[in-house]
Amino acid sequence: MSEQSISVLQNLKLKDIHREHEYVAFTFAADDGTGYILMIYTFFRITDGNRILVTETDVFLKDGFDDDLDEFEWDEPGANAFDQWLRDGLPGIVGQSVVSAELNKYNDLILRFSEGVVLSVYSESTEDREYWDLKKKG
Amino acid sequence: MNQSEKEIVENRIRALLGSEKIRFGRSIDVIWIALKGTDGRDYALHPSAFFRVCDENRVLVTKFDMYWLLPEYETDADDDDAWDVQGHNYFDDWAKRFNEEYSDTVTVTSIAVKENGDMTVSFSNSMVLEILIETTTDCECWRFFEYHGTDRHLVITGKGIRSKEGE
Repeated sequence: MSEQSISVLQNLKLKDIHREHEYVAFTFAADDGTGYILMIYTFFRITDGNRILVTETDVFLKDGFDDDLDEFEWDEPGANAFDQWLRDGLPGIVGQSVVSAELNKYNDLILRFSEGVVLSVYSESTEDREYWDLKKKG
Repeated sequence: MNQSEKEIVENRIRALLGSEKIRFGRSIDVIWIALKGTDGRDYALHPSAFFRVCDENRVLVTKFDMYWLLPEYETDADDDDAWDVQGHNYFDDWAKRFNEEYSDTVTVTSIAVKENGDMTVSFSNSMVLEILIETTTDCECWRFFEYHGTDRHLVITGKGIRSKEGE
């Protein structure tokens, strides 16, 4: 995916974040409803300054979880830390506009939002595979 | 992590500055980095969160490379545990080459910790190890300790330093 193709996200508003099992989809749209869906298959973080708001790994975890000791049905809606953030923290980011969309030298996708929140999407391995894709909405 | 926690972390990991005999390896899915401190002690970093080693222009290896089979072993891909055979995945391949080429010559030139717990270790061959806090929960992200030492392990979680005894 090139810098040029992700530039279509610029000025679009984040409308929704949706989890489908281990994958997370971000929906971006203009005022007329047209827009794009960014589907992420790799490690990502949403940060606000020094604070990490949520991460992709939060889908598989919750406070107090120890994978050596515990059984944990992470995919049950609401069971994991990511879903808890969707429930409690989502309104803070939805509605913000993308002010810049760039790929850095390591091919990380960096989206900066109007109120300072940043979505960083990392290439999870050095393997040449699909880490995210961007599709037209609707 | 608050300022006082950050200072605790910085004080502990300062022991890594100038370290040599740096080796990467793994035991099942636990990645370890062994370092000989300038004080002669043997230290270890265990990044359980996402990490990668980069040079100035590209990513050289990441945590998840351990799950990707080298082309010559791809015929074993139906076996869920095939990645765990030592030497059969991309991480093991990179670690072997690093250990052979750099272990005796490379030193740690700088270490930095951010307020969120991310750690960056720079090596004298221009490679940089980045350990990124992977979760907002109290699950472990990385650990620092001295082999056979008596100090408690320094364990960093998504909520800062883990303070429970015995962990």
